[in-house]
Amino acid sequence: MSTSKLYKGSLSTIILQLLSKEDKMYGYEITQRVKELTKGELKITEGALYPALHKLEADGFLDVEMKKVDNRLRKYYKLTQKGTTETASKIEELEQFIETMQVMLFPKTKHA
Amino acid sequence: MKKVNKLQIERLYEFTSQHYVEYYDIQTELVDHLANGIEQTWEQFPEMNFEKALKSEFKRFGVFGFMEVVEKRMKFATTRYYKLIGKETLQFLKAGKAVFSILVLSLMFFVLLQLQNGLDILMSIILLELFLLIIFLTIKKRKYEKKLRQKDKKRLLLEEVIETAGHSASVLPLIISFFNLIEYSDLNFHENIYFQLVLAVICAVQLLLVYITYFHIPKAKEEILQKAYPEFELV
Repeated sequence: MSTSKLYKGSLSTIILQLLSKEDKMYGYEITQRVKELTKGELKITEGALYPALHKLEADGFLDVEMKKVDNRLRKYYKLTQKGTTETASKIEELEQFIETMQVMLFPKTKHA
Repeated sequence: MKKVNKLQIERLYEFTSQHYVEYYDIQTELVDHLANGIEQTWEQFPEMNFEKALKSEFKRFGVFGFMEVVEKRMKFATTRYYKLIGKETLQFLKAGKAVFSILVLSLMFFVLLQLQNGLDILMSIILLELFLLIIFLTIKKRKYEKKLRQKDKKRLLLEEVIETAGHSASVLPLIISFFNLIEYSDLNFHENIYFQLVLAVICAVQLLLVYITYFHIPKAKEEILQKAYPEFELV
């Protein structure tokens, strides 16, 4: 399993992408879904998750909804219209990054 | 699945408070997270003691515990508050009355600056304004702290930011430094007519910002909080 710093800059993108696939999710659910999808390879720490969620909320990319569940209040996050646009932009940026790194790490050798 | 009961939920709120999370809105989110983690642990180890499961779940937050979550949340709440001021200011400016008021005030300040000791008089007016604001904010803060000591009063982060105007009182004395700079500068640029115009407009606009920050937004506080915290049944 990995908590590599390489994933650090992608946390917002991961959260936005997950929320684009679901109507709404709460914090704990997000950590479990990431763990499940990556088969334990990627674990989002609680100390990283909530600041990332709160920043996305402050930037207007996420809306919140509170619901009473099992003796307590639960805060759900969902994408706003602005968040949907930002998700597409972030994914494109990450795809470009992966492509560039592929070229750097595995350059095609020139034949004489 | 074994669930966390009401008493244990109260214990979780107490736990977050003991670990320096003072705001009910942040506590609520952390309580739900801890409860989920404990319930997950009970799926594997149903006989585990609640306190032991809680300690194990809290460890996942790292050596700094909840501190980073709280600090970042406070920073974002302040950003949200300043965005709110910006939004309200634009709304005011879109309304013709506000623009007219700024124009009239700017003209008054400009005329004042034409008098022999005009700059000194303007500085005195601004100083008096700042002094009264600081007293007003101090009284307001005391009233809010008294309210917090009431039983069942929940401390909400955004409410505190609004009540203390984003802790802007500490910045107000900087405005005095600006005027001192003009007063004691050897350049005498305060005698320049364009500078006087700009200064008059700045003084008028700052009065609008003071009104929005310290009077208009606090008046609309309940509406703002209802929107931000719809499930907390604010009165």
